[in-house]
Amino acid sequence: MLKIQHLSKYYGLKKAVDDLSLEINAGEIYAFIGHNGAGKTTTIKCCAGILDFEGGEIFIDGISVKQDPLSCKKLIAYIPDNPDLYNFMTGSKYLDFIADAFQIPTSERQERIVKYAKIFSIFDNLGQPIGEYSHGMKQKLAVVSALIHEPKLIIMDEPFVGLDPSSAHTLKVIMRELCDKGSAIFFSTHVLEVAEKLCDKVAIIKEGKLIVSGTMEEIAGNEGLENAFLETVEGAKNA
Amino acid sequence: MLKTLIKKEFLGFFGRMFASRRSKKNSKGSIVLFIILFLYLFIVLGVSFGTLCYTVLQALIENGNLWFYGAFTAVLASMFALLGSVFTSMTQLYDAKDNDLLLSLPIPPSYILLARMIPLGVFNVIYASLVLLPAIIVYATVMGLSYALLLQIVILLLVSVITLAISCLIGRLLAGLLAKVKRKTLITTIFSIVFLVAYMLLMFNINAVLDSILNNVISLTAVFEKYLPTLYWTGLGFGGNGIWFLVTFVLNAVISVGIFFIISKTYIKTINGSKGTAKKKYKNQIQKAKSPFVSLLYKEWKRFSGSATYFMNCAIGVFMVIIAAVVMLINTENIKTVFKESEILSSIMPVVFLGCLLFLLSTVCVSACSVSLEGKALWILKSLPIKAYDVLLAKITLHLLVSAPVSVVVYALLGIVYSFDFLSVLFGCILIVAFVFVMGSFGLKRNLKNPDLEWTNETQPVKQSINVLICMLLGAVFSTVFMTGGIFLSLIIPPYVAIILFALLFTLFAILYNRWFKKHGAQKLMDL
Repeated sequence: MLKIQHLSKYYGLKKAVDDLSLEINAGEIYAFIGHNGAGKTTTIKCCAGILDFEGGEIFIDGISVKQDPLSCKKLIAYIPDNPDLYNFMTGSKYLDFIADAFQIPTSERQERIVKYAKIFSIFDNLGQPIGEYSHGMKQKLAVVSALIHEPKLIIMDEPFVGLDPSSAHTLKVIMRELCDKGSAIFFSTHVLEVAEKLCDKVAIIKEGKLIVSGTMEEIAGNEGLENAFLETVEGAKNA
Repeated sequence: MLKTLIKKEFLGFFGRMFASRRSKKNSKGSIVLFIILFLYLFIVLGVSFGTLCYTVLQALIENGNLWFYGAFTAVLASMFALLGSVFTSMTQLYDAKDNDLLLSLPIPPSYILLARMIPLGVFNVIYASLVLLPAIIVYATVMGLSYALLLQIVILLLVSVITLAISCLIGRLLAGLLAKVKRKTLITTIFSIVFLVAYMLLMFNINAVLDSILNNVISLTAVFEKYLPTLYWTGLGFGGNGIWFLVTFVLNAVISVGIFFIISKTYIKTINGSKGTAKKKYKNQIQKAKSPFVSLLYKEWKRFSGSATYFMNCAIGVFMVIIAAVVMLINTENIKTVFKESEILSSIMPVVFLGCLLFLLSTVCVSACSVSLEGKALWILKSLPIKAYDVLLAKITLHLLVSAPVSVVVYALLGIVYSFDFLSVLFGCILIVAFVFVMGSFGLKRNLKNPDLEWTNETQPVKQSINVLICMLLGAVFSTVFMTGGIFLSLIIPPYVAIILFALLFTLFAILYNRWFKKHGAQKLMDL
């Protein structure tokens, strides 16, 4: 579903992502972990078509993000780490706008908006301007907007930040359900317990370079993901 | 700490205005351009206020009521400063995005308030200087140099301070009122329009008002002494009366400090009170599917109509077009008489009217800050499967929809009432649309090249943007070129042919801009 081949991204002279390659198949939940500033968000933004990149290629369902970004964006949903939405719109108008962008027919959007807004307990607030939402409510709205076009690939940057425990649980359940239906999920997180319990595969990135990737069993082993992460990152530092 | 806060406010302002997007450093070109534009505005407005002041001073010397000169110029300067700062103060003080952050730090709220007020105060000094500096120069030229000059400069500062205090107080009252109502934008817009219409009516009738005041200045003296003594004392102080100057000084200082004290005591309460109204439960409504372009246009419209700052600052020209049209329709016979004085004047009437209309339209700059206003939510447009060109086209279309239909109707109506020939009306309307498209495109291109996506309140990309200023001035240049070129050509060829030539020229510009947006603009947006 998502194939990253030798991705390199520079900010001026600084190399933010260095020759990174990953492959995520349909039905997989893939965690992307690393220190702050390791290059997670940059990689994720390149995959979502938000940032251009200098080297390598990214394919979504076989389509190149560089060559045909619009077709790629139709297949994916992106949730940023900080939900800066349109404060001047109401929640329902915002969802309507997103549905229009994905050209979701009237009947389907109606059903999905009601379904997901109720699941995340923001249905009653959809008539309010987003400017009056709390951080958590904005995050929930961003999640709902990402789900309404039933994407094949969801790319998320720290999706659990700001969500209350019940909504975080709901999101995890939905993530699994979507993957069972054939979608794929690629997300960054600092909450290693969640990654360990939820994900099929994991990749660890440090200073823009992929240190290790594989199934959760391979990476976490018997010691757990936290120890594996610390050993891997510290090991890379000492090497 | 206060010094650091003030520095932050000024750095934010000048950084925003002059910073180059690539280097993030102040661009020398932008600074030079800003100074030139600022001096141009200062000279143009200064000369008009200076002429007005000279007329008033001459009349007052004749009837021996010199005190009125200081009072009159102080009131005029206060009104000018108040018009420029009243809405800025509300957004600057109460709607800043970093209010929560600053209030969470161990800084007294009065410091935050003062740091935000000082840049406003600097702007007030500039606004007041536009009126009072020419007034002081005129006074010194006519009456000769004396120590009164020093008092007059202090009065200029006093006017700036008291106006700042009043605008902050009005801003405080508005913020408190708007926190309790649902349709904030509508109420702010109505308030702004009433304010603007009152100001424009006064300006349109300034000669009649002045004549009436100057003829009744003796009876007005008694009224001022009894009911508005502060203005009377200011007038005496302006003329060099040291005792009354001192009284004015103390009074202004006490009032300003008192207002600042009241605002600072209720600052936190006002900020917290401005965050939301009573929540209403959402009822499911049918969401009809629209095309992505229509949805983008709707989004632009919601942003435009949902922000009084954006609406009032960038579409003021449309209101001026309507007001001008009403004035021209009311005074049809008088205007016709003036133009019928000679055959040449009569023939160039369509060109003159069109030139004036284009001049007013040059103050519409909806697209010039539309990219900046995306702010940190720009990721939404970049992550959605929509063409970047459609995003840009939606922004220009909004600019077009806000200004073109009203102007076309106004010009067509004036054409009928003033009996223009059909071709002048037809091609005049085409020229209006092409002009508006070019202005919208120019503003958008400027904003794409120099966006401010890190603003903390909306006034920064809207009111403190060099893009907006340049856009307005280029529009003024374009309309002046049309007016002079059109009049000159109308002496050689029929006026409608002159209008056709300019319509073709602007249509060509519009096509070229459209090509640039398709080829380069879309990519520029994605690269932001």
